[in-house]
Amino acid sequence: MTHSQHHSEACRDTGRCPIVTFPEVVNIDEIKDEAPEVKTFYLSFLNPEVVPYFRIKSGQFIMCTVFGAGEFAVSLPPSPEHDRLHITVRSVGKVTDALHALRPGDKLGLRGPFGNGFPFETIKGKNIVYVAGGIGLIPLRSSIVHALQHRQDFGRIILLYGARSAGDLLYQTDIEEWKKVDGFESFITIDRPESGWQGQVGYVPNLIEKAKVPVEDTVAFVCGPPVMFNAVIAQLLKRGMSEDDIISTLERQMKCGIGKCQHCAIGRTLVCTDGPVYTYHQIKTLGEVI
Amino acid sequence: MYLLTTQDINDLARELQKTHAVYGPQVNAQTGQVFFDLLAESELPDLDAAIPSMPVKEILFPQMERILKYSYDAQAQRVTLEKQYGEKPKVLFGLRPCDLAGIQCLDRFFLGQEFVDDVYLAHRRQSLLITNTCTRPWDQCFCVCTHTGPAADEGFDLDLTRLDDGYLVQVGSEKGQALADAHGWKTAEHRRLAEKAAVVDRCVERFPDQAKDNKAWISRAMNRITTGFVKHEIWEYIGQQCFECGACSFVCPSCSCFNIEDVTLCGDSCERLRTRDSCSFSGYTRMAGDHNPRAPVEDRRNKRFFCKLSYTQSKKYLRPGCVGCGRCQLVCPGDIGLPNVVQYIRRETTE
Amino acid sequence: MNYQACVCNLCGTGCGQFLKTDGTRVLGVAPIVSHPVSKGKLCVRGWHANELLNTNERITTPLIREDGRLREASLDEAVSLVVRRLGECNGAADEIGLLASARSSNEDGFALRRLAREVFKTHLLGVGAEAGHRNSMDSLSHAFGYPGAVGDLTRIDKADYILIVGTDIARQNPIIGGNLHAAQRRGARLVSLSSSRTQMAKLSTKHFQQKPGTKALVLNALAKALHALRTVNHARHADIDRLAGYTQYVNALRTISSVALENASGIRYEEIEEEAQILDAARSVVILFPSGISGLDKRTIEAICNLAVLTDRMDDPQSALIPVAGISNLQGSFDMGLSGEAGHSVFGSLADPDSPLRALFVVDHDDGIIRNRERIAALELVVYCGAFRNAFMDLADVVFPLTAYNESDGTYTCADRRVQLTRKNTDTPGAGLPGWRVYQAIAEQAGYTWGWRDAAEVFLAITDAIPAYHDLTHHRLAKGFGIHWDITAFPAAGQMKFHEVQIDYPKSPTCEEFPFALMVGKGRHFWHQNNLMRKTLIPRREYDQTLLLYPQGYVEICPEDAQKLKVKDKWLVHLTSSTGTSMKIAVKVSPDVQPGTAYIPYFIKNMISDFLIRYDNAFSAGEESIIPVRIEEK
Repeated sequence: MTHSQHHSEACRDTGRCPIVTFPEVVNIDEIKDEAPEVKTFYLSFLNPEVVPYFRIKSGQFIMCTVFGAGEFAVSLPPSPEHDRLHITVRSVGKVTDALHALRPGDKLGLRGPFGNGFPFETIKGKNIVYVAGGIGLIPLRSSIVHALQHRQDFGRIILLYGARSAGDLLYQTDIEEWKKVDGFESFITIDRPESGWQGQVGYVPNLIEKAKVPVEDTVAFVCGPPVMFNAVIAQLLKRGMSEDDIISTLERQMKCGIGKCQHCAIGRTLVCTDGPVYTYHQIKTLGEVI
Repeated sequence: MYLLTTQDINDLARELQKTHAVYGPQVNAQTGQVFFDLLAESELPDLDAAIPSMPVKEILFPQMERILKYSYDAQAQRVTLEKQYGEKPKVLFGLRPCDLAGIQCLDRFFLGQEFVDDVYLAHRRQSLLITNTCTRPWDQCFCVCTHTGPAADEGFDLDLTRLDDGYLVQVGSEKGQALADAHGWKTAEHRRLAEKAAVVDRCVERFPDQAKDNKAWISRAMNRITTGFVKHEIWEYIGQQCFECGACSFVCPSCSCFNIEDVTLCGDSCERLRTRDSCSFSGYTRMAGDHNPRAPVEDRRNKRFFCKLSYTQSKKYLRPGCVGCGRCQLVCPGDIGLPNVVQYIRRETTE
Repeated sequence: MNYQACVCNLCGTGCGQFLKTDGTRVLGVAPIVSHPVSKGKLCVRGWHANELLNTNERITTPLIREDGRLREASLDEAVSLVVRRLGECNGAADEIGLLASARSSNEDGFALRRLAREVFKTHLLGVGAEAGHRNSMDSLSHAFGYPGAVGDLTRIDKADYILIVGTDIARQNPIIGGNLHAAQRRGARLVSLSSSRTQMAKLSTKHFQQKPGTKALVLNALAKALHALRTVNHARHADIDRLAGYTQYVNALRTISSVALENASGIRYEEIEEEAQILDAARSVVILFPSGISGLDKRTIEAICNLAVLTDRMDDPQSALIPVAGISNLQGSFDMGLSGEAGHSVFGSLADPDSPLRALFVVDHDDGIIRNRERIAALELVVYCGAFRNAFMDLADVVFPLTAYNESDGTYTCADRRVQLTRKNTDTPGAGLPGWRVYQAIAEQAGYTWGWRDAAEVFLAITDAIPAYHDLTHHRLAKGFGIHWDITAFPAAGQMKFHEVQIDYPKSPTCEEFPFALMVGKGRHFWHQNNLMRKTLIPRREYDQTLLLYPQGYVEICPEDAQKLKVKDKWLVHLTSSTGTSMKIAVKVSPDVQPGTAYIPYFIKNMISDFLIRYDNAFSAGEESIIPVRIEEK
């Protein structure tokens, strides 16, 4: 069966042509231990015809089938350009546990990419601040790499990232690579001091002051656990940042990815099609507890 | 506009059975309950039967459906996938207007948005909708308030109305016209429309007073819900009466929420099951390893009534999500079928 | 027509259910609109029966354990093995025990009893949930002359006054709960007596929230107040005062002191007097109470029966007194004589290390109920018969596959004695057989000829042997929605009697050191140890939801107590009982429970293993069991 046969009916003048209903099979080429309970899986499509259609935007997600266990939604960390297809997953339940038990050569099913993605064109020329806590870096990675690939289009690019311990920090080799890009500022912190750690100690919100985060002509991408998220938002707003310039991604239980099953409905919005990327202003007005 | 005899109608049903899977009203002999179900070869649709107890969406969006079958050979690391949907074209013969309105809602939702739902499309493709003007409402019917009955306005291929001496057949689509042309049906005179109007009037007379006395009550309630004027205590009272059975969503012609689960069969074979779901269940919005963003039961109830009766949600169906069939009222162990909820809100407004 | 009518098998209400089936698989569910009890409604269980009936966790072939593993076997092989091995045991000496299932049809139950008595010659027979229902049956027999409900569930729809004692019917038998709610709306007075504020209590006209363990006292106080009114009015028709036990009863009631009542139960006598006025004026009275594993203790049931007799309304065509069973055929299992005999208890034999028990024959049993696991594992032979796989299989030496409830003809007797017929509507996956066929095959191999060709013939044998079923046949039951078994088959039916009562003012077993009264509570989406519900998709998800929020289980306490203990919702606490057992568990703060009480849903594993095991009476006392505990912040 060709790609067009699978997908022709589902695409409708969106310019996007994702894999909608029938999963495409991908091979697990490589598995990397990222942190305790977090692994990165590098993937490639078995059907080469799919590759040109599978175009992603930063901030989008896919539905991933672990055969025999089920399907789950996961954000896409690779950059839209010149990057390997991969996903980074923490084992939190039945399906993700089964994923973690797989080995290279095993197959997965993949649908997507779905979701609106981060704005890219509209933020050109601005400063970007990425604020991430723990696995909150996963959905931001794509955008960071993409922004660094287009370094000349932006002002300051700052990453504030923290985790419980040094071992919990994700994408450490990536971060070392990013640091080599001219003008990339990174502030990494862990919650408590530990032997061998030379960097910052403390919580992520404290880095905002330290990094002298700008407010004018700046957008902030914030992802992390609720406590961190709320503290960061409070600080950014205090500094005078507009609610429209704070951007985050929401996580909800998803089943279909195409706005039909309604599991991810929050008030009037569906996270899978209207989101998962929202400005803080939108999040605040969604009308339901986040 | 044509006038057909019962014999003509039966011939049409028999003829369509050769090329289509024909569904129609049938009476269960043991219980007298009416279902809209697949007709066996010798069976004909019972157009005089009462309103089907279950919505016709069962045919297009079944309670439980296998959408994918796969097997994974862990040793060889090989997977085989098999599509499970895609069937014979369907004829829905003798649909009630409320069920037709439900299908229109589902169409707009599953087919008319950014993405098309392939599974629903597979059921809906090439299907033929033949409506039957309602003559006998139930006690909890209120389609006269939601403008979905007792006669259908649009969206059908053919529309039947039982008159004293046959069926008045109106055409609603090219497909319907093609059928009429192919059979050379006898044209009906204009006066037949007046006869139909009389049938409809007689039916409206039989509606419960609640539905007849003020047809604007639904839109009033919609206004209240959309603008958020419904008091928290009302939602709480509604939540208290919820037995969390999910029945309202299962029998609602326009409820479209579903769940997807991969179920292991024997050995390494697996099926992807799509089952109807309800936003009244607490596990519905749960996230893996995390909190539930919508916990108290009144919030969950609230979500459903908001979906059925708010302007903002109506946009996705291009009409109110409620089609006035009243089935939720019939199956609710509490007292919070939609007509009653509207009553609560209405009572609050008048107080 | 793909819709086939049957009776829902997931609780004792006996709701009318259509299954949409193509003959091989169940595709969906619909309610039966004209069913007199369920009236077109089903609960979350009934609506998801299709998921259960589609599970792949079925037993599809006979199995025999060989070298520690179960292997497939033919029916003949398995039957021969069972006959040979059980033949080595002396049933008459209580060496063979049988655990029947309260979900099996009457036909299966009847055949199993015959197998036990005629073939195995054993008296050791039980259904597992008998303690609670046995109390109900004994008390009803004494008071009304027959072991079954007085009146039926449809009377809820017309009665003036409805009293619900204990249990959250809205959770355990939701459709009865719905009917009660409807009765309240049409104007019936709906009164709940329960120590926690259940959903049913919230929907009631009046809720008496008594202190734990004092239901019987409150009921007796209500009787006292009612009797006082009756003495004044005199305008009554029946000869209540000539009934056996009347004098003792009334004299005992007179001793109730309002001060002691209030101290013990927390309820003022004035409030009860007001209630008695309304009860007195009612023309018809329906009383419901839970029966079975989470049923009431003997004292409370006797108080209920006495009150019912005293109302002088039980002969009204709209009155009823119904022990509401949680399991579909609990009443039928008792009718078929599966409830065990005095002095012969299967669980007793299992618990007693010196009992002669050598072999156990178990039918479709919830594995959550496995107590004495080591003892069972050490038995010489364990036979398991069931439709669905469960943990009992791990202990079994021989396994027989049974049909699910929609895969064979069978009758079921629900809470109010309504006998209903379910016809086979779907094929069994694999080699599953109706229970009676398996038992008949065993009997035949052992040299007995029963000669039944179908379930209708088994039912004929039932009508011969069980007087209350004398006028029923499958043919009669196939029309309409069941027939209540005939109470007039019991000679004493209609002769009412009072139970002897003793008025006591139960003191809370709590003390300064162990200030909380811990009780077994109800969990949402959890029935019968979840043996069945966890094989579904959506109800299982709902159950998992609770465990996600409280992965180590929870103990429900009120906000005031939480504040005193300085704990918040989901915080972990240490729970220590007066016998020294302890566990770590999360707090669930709920305004629905009273200060000084704590509830643990009985599906929490530690609850069973660490707590209840030590409190054997907790099972027999059912809903009224109280364990004094201390709760400490971790």
